Amino acid sequence: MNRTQSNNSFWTGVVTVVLAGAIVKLVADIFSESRTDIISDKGLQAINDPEKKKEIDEAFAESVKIQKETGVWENPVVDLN
Amino acid sequence: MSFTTGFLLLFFTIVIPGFLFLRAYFYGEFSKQFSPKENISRHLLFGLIPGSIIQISCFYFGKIFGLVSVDGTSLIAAFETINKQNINGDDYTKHLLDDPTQFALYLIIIYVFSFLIGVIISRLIRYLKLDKLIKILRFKNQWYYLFSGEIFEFKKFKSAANILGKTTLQDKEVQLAKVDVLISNGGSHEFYSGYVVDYDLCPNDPSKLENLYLMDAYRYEYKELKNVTSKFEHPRISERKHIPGEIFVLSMASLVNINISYLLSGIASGQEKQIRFALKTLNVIMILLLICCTYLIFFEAAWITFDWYTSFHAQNWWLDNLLLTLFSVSIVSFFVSTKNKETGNYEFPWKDFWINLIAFVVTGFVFFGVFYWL
Repeated sequence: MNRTQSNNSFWTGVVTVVLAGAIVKLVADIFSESRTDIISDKGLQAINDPEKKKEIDEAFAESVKIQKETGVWENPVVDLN
Repeated sequence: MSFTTGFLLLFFTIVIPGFLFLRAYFYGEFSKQFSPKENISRHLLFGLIPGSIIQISCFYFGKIFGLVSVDGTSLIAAFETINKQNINGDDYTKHLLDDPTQFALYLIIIYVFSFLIGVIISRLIRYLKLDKLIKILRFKNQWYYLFSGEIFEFKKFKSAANILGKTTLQDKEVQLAKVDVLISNGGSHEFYSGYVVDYDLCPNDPSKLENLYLMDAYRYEYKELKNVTSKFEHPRISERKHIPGEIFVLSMASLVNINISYLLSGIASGQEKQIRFALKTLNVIMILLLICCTYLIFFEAAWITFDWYTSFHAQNWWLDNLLLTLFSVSIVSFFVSTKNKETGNYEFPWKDFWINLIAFVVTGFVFFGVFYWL
């Protein structure tokens, strides 16, 4: 009887852990994908990094220059990955 | 006084669940459009619709699943009796009110459920990007969509970009927004620029900005040129001055105009947006399927007349239920994709496949072994 109870407890534990794990994994994914930040983490890090910030400022200045020459605004692109 | 009783009943059963739903629904940046301090009566009124839907759904499904024993007609009759302040005249109402803890417990469950459903629905809308695809689901905070650059994902902006042949946002994502702001100050104008890190909306009118928080802010000042030959009477040049400090808070009370430009960066993920959307949707469907399966395994549904299902529930051993749930998890897991943290792609890695296969074989073997031989 004790052995059966011990087995039952074991399986209950396994099922609970697997179910909880699957749900937590998806919920964590949903929460991380549904964030509402107006500035990305990479963007925030970049403007606090002098080298990256210089690169960003130069990219914006380049976009302004291109617009003056062509009349078309193109948002600057900097690799922050 | 009858109005007071009826109002209290409406307040506790409909208005509060609706209010809790709205409080959870407007999260993060969207909570700025939900300010209970300023618009409490408006929010309570708007909460009537979701509150009624939640209350009716909970009662209906509670009845189906046997969690609610109260009859709908009797409940309405009880409400009428309470409203007429004639409690002693109806035995059923007296019976209901004899033990108010049951009703209190029901209300607490409804409140928790309302809050959770608000959290889930809003997150799912954002997770599946439905607010950008369907206008009616869009949050009424255009400043968030503007500053985050998500406005480019709206249908009309996408089609405009296609017409103009602009492909700037293909395989790229907005990292930050840089603003140039013109502020009116008496007769003169002041010009500022910087990177937007946060903003406040006017509590009375969420369509208007109250404050803007800038990092790396600059002020532009006009400086008159003296002793210079010019065709202008008062020649001036603009001088850019860095504003020292971490964050510059700019009041938007006298905003004249605002110009926004975006910094883009390549998306690490090379996966098509449609494929990502499909895989994310599949994940949500699978988890809902898993929850439904678990419920149907533990609680017999009368509408399922499948022989094996009825014989399974006839045995009604909790270990069978648990093992079948585990077996269901292993089947569902085959269809759940995993997000690669480095690339952001949704994938079905071989490692996961082999783990799922082993889990499927082991749980299947154990379940059928226990079910048929024990």
